[in-house]
Amino acid sequence: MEFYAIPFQGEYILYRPLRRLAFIGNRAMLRHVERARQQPNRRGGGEADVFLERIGFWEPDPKPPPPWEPREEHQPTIAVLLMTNACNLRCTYCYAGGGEGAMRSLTVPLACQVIDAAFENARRQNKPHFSLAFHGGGEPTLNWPVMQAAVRHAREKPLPCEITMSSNGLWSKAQREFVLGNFNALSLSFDGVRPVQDAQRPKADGTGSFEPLMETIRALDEARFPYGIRMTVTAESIPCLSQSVAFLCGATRCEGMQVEPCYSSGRGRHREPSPKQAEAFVRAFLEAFEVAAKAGRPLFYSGARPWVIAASFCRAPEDALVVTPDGDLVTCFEIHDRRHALTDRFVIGRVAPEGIFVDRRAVEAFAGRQAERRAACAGCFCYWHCGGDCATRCMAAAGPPRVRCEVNRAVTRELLAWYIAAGDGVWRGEQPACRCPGGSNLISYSVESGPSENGNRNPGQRETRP
Amino acid sequence: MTKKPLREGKNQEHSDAGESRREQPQVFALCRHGSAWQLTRRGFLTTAAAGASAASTGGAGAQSEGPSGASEEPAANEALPVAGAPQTAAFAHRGAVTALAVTADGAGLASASPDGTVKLWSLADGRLLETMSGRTGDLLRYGGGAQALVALPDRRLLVSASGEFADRVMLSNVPDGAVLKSLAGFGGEVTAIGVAPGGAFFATGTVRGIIYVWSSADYRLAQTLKGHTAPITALALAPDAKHVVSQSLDNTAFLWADGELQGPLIEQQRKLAALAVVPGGKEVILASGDEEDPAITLWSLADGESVRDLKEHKKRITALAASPDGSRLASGDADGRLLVWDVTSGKRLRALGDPSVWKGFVYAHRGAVHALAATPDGALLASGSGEEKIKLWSLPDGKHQKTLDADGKVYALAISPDGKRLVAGVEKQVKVWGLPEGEPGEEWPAQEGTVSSLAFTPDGRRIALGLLDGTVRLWSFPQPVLERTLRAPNRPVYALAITPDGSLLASACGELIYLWSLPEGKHSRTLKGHRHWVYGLAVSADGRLLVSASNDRAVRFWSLPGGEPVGQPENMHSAVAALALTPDAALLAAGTDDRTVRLGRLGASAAWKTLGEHGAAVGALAVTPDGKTLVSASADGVIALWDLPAGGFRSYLFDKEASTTDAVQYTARDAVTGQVITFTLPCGSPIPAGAVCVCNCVPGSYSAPSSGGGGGGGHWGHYWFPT
Repeated sequence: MEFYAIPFQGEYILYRPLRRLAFIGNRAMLRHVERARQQPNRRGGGEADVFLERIGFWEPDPKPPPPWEPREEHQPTIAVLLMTNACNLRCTYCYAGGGEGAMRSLTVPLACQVIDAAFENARRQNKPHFSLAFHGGGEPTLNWPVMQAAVRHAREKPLPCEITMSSNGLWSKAQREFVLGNFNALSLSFDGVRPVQDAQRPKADGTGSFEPLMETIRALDEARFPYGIRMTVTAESIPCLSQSVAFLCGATRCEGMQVEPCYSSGRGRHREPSPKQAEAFVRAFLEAFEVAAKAGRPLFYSGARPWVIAASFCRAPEDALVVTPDGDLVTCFEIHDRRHALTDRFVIGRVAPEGIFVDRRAVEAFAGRQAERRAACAGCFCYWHCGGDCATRCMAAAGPPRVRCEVNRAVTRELLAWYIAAGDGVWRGEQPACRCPGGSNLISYSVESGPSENGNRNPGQRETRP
Repeated sequence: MTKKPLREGKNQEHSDAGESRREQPQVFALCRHGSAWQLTRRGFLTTAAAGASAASTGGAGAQSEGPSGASEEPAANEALPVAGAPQTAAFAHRGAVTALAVTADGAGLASASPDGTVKLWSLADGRLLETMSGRTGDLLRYGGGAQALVALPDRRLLVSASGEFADRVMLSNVPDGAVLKSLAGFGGEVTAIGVAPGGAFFATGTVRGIIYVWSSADYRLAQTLKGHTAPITALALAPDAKHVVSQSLDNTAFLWADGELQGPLIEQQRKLAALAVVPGGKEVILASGDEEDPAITLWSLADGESVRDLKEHKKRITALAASPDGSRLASGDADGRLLVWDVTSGKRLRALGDPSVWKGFVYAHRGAVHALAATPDGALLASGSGEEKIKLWSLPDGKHQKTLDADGKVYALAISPDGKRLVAGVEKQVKVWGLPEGEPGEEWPAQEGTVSSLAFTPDGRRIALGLLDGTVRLWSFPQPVLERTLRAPNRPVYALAITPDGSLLASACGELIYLWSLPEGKHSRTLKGHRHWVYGLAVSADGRLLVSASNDRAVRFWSLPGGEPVGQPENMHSAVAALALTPDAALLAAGTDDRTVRLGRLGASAAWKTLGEHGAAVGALAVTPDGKTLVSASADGVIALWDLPAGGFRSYLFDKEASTTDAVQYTARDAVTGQVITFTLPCGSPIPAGAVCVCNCVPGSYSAPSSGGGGGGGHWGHYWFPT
């Protein structure tokens, strides 16, 4: 049985992650549990024992999810097209340096080939649908003809296709109409109130992007289109986070918000939070979480998801065929092209005219590095929640990067406390205050994390359409 | 049960055990008071006893006794991991052992790994004879595809690699990587390579399931074996290639004799990760390493029966090789362990270990280390990090001396030429401290942009600041007066370098390098060549060579003062974030985003070698003025010391406050200089015979250094108790 005692305000959160069970006890309670655990025959009928029995504390752990083992046949059913590195924004923290350097764009044949493969894999596995997602180191809609062709190609398949996109939302009217008519869900990058959005996500000409994005949001809301919002927090915008979340709750119908601190890559080089800024981020996140909870909106940070039990942070290496404009198959949406510093570690194959080739050795090496990283997480109470955390943020390190780990642990600990309070003193795995307007009460999806382990719908996702 | 309220102010740390035992187990509820949680001891025990819901700890019916005091503050040190005693067990490689070959005379064993090294071992006594990297290292590290080692009868050692998705096999000399032969036209990707004991033959298996057997002497195609219907995953040959064993993704393992398929091997539904044919007097034995079970199974090829299992590996067997006489079998695993077995008895003869290989890191900072600077006398090193601290370390022993609180992320450091002032670029501020004591120095006005680089003029009377707003600012020093602002296009300035005569300043501005004459600050030339941000600049001691490193993975060379390109750029496998030249400009060190520290000899493009790996991207480098020590620092807070010119690893810098694990520290006398040096390695690392562990795993042996400027602090996260 996996059991942790997490110090909390002078007491302990007594936590069984796999059982999804947590409550707060004092040191004597911790000792009592420890003794009873080691000597089950001495569990008596005392009040503490009755309590533990009643909440099911001694029930065995369910089987944990197995670690990712590369399959012999790589048969993902999600086609992820990294469309272009061209961008109409110059976000100050852009991990890809979008809009800079020589432009690389995905071609129609490449896109169609990957869509065909995802469809074939889904058909072979008798899946009810396959998926198509647009991402990239720039704004995917800037490769517009290819996007249109890809969507049409996917829709021609004799299997429903779920089409999603991560975008900055700066679209023309025609693009809006096309998206509304053809996509199932969206993730929009939106950092919050106007001063923050305009400062952090300026257009290429230096002017603000707030107003054109709001125009798109209004159109989406009017059409009741499901979408989630992805917010990036920099050191400068930490103090504005809850204000931004309050604004988004009031001014948009977004189904959920994902908040992520900036990390050191591309234009965000050197912009990762320092330990002090990370502390400030944790405080700001928890404050914003309260704001969102009061508004009935889910808000989450990908590194701290106590309701998720996962052996890996992200399912993209297993479930997605992610193709770059160079024709490389990669294991992460953020490896936008060969200029990315981690390309060598994330390329697992190639899409060539003759077919899609997966280098098993590269897949195994990737899985090996995941396992190596995960081994360093042993003994951490977030072990099953962050799943070893995001590969691109951590893969460069043999062990977990500690500032981010501390953020993950601090947020997880506080969320556990929040859930315990909301669950009348015992948390049993529910996510009480985060009921989506759309009905899904578990957020287990992010743009990075791919589909949820438990199969719930994602914020900003509507029914698959044929 | 009677509830006993906890005594106010009782300190659990100092309470006696008996008293602790008398405490009652309590469960607490939480309630929100304003912005803070309040823990309230609730009467679940009472209500539970009364038959109410055990979980109904909140609400009106709950018994409220007010917030629990901080009487049972968890003792942070209780959760510290217990340091293991130093061990003598060693790894052969940092990464998996992916290829093995026993030399034709049976005396030596070669092992290869994606850690970028090929190592030669004595089979007789297990000694490590040589470690080779060079271009071969790159092939192993980045080549992908199938790889094998071929030990030729003439004592040459080759790496045979197919490369990613390539339908060709390259045979390259070890260690220089010179391609001796390229075999092509396989009609598909080469997925497996097997080598016969003695190296006279090797075989290639393709994605189409076809096996080609080659003579190593003249690269003549000896056999073509067709029978598998799916990609070949493993191959093994007898010394004379009469017997070949193959495993395929079609779930078959075939035995071939004299080019004819003999049929499937028994029990070979198992997925085999490694194969070797062991030549014998009476029978030929197949050794196989199962993918799921880290055991080696010996099979009789005559009847397909299992002869015995060799068990000791803990991780998946990734490589096997037999000696030409069949008496010895070498096995390597995914963890980098390398064992030698006696085939007849099945006994493990020895584990081969490289004492310089250990697993894990020792930390100097809790945040990314962005900057390093050494004093002109080489006695002190300063490191600046994202954890908002600057740490001072004595050299060459690498002991932590002092921590300075920077109150902001430190991106740049410079030490004045007289060694008396330390200047730091701390976000949009410049901060100065006196050395060696670390007392606060002159106050500087705030800057308009983040200070990302610093460079002193040789006379120490000016300092150049490179800002992320694209400007370079020249200030007088030590009294800060802005003399000039050098403006270039609005691109971040990540690096600066000033020639030793002080006449020229180079600034990296986006993908361009600007040359400015000093002191007037006149723009003299723009150097174009890099395709992405330039992160590092270095000028040779004679002022005639400028070296630049970029996110485009290239290191470029320029003549000064003209700025003409010199030679060919050196292309690395990842973004190059840091550069350092030795004072004699003979050696150039590069720190890359793929975690490696590389050392090259200027003018010898093939002479780059990988010194070792950090746990994260290497973002800062420094060479001590005597040219004997290279310091490298990475984004995970690790700082490593390397000996120059050889490039051997010396030690990590260790600050207890930054480390989540303990370290082994020991002192040893340098055989050449006679200096006593403190070595610091992760706990569990092998230490030399006779060396004494003086680390914190011996309680009371460690004393934290003093903190200056209010530094110090602690982990803001709590420890937890994995139970």
